[in-house]
Amino acid sequence: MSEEHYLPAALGNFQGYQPLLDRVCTACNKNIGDAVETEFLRTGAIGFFRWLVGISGRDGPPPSPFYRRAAGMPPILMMGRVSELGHNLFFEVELGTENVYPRQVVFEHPLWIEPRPAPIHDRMRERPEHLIELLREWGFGRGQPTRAFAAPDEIPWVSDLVRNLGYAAERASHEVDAPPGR
Amino acid sequence: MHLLAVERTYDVILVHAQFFAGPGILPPPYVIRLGRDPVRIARRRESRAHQYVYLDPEAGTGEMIDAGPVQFIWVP
Repeated sequence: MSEEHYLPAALGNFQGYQPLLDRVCTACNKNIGDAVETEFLRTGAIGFFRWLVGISGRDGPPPSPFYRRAAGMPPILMMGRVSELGHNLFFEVELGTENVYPRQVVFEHPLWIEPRPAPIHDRMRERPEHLIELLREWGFGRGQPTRAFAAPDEIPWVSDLVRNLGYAAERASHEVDAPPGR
Repeated sequence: MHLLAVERTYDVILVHAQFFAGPGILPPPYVIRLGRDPVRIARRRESRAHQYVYLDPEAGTGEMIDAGPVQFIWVP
């Protein structure tokens, strides 16, 4: 038998909370924990709110749900309209603080009504084919990158990523905005 | 604040869970069906609930408070 935390420690430590004792066997507890907890705590609404409130787990702050896949689930996408630009962009929540623009590249095409953003996830740094696949799935076709958003230390590799797609580097990186550090 | 409530009848043990509820935020609740009560003789319906309130959200610490059904009325 093992100690069962029916409310995972990654959701906080609460005075008066008592784990369940002698009710769940060690193997079941471990299997359910491995299979369910990562998805529960790092994806969807729970992953979003944990990040928004800034609740750390046993290993410290969780990885950003806006960049990291977890349990096979893709990172969270949160889109909103930017009135100054006149089109949509992705937003992210800085850990426990405010909304900022996450890493993304904006594409334009003469046939589109307005520009469209594409997110740049962590794994695309090592595997540019993931961005190619995403652009194909989202029907970006022959859209051209016109603007990128990245933190200052990320600008070189984001520029390289866009260049590796076969776009001219100067088109991809001529206008790079830097959100607050992540 | 998190809310956990359980209701036990002879047919089923149901958990209602709502995480990160707070001022202006009422996230959709989860309903988890744990199974039926293993007892052989039916007994009256029981329900219990607790709320887990963050007192220091940055530290992720707080307090568990009893939340009987009578306290379970939400005014939007």
